[in-house]
Amino acid sequence: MHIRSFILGALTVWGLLTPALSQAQFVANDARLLASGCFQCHGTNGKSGAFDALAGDGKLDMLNKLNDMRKQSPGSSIMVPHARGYTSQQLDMIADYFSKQK
Amino acid sequence: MKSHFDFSLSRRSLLAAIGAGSVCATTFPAFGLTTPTRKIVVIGGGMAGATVAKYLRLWSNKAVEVTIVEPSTTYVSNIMSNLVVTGQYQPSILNYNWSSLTANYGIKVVKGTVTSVTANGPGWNVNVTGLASPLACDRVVVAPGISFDPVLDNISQPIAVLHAWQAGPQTTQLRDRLAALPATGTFVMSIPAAPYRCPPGPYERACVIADYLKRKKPGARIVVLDANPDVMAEPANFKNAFSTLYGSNLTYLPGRKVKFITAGVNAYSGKVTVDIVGTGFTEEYSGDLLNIIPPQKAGLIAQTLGLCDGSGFAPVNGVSFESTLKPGIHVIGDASKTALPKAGHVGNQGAKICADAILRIFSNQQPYATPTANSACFSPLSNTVASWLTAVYQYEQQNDSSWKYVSRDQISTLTGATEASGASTKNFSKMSTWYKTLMTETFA
Repeated sequence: MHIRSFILGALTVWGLLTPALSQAQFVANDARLLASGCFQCHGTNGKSGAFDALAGDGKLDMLNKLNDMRKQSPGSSIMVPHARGYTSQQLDMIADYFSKQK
Repeated sequence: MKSHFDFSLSRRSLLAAIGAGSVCATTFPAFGLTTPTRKIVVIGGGMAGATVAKYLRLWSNKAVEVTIVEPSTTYVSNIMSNLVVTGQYQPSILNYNWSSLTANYGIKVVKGTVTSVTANGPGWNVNVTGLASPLACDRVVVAPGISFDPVLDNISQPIAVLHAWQAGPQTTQLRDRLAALPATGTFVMSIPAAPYRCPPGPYERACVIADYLKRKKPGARIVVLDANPDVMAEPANFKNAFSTLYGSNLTYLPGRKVKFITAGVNAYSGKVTVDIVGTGFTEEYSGDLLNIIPPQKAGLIAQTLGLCDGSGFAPVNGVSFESTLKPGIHVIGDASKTALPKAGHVGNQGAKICADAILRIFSNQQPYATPTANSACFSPLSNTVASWLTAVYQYEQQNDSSWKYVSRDQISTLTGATEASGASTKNFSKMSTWYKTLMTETFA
């Protein structure tokens, strides 16, 4: 009984001690989460997507293309509703994220 | 970027800090326990389940242990399966498995069926058929896809139907029976009331089957009985195809809800009795081949675990896909109840939002408050041309202060999904690229 209680108690303490993820393991990244919506067509982290691979592309170049798309008719190309569906600030974060992928 | 809090406090200093360190550190090796790790069990390895497993590993630098519990040895894609039904593509193009996820990210895969999930301290025990002891974990992600409601016969008994709405054996069965349809036969398909898996899917199927009949069996025809009041996705492209490409061999009837089926002599032939929605009248349609797509609910395990509400789907918090009925359990993909459509591409994105939220929670942070998701797909209208449908969803607070995913064009401020201005062969070719890239992103 006493031994069982001790073990349960120790297990409980151990459970509470499961540490938070360290920064080496996980750093929250809002831009990565936002840009991950592009991975389905442009590949994980913008790499090896069969459509345009975006990893390492110039940020300004990407933003220029997206801003051109924002002026086009929504049904003209599948990328146009994407360019028009995010805010300017979100597009900036997305382009910045892909420009920094190697 | 450095956060305000440093969560990298090592286990050793944490143990020392609370004073019990020496006891635990020396005692536990005697029990054969290793360093505690955050563990996740994912129930179901489809589009959403595979994706959440991948991103929990990728974004935690493999710090979180992830196990997928999956009864099948192969994932059979629903996407592209309509073109297997028509014989244009081989069934093998639909087959995927989890071996790349294991090799690339160290994801464990357990073959089995989950029977129950029980509380284990602050975490959970997941009981799996064939396993002597349960899988213990901190959080559970439930991704079982859909289940089908029974369809009744004329004496109110459940009757077997050929829906082919869960790709697998029924996909090739429907293909083979379509090929055997008499030259002047009638193919009758039914569409359930929304919500159902893949909003454009039934209309896509109607089109590619009408195209098949036009080419291979010009004397045959297709009747489409839709429980919904109108075409639920890409209305301009599908209605245009119905009236122009298939004006001679396709009849589309909205507001027809299947009431019961009277079986015919041959398997999956017979008579469909429908309610004409809102009128109190019924009609009957005879078919040499009946393709009845039943109404749908969340996969059975989501219902068994008490995760679903009266709608049959699982209500979740949109920032994390954590169940609002059972905190600590997340529900993603087609089983979850959000304003997002039920489909593979957006299921992949919802899974990434869920993975990110779980990792933030494991780091003592809040889930990102305003996530975005997107849905995109190409829809074949024949064996050579395709349309597309897409939407970007922002998680927005509504006037009644609730939060919801809303698809909004930021320039025009109009809401709702966008469809292609027309079908083209170029879109058909892009469809293959989209499919391959989406499946690689999900399973590799």
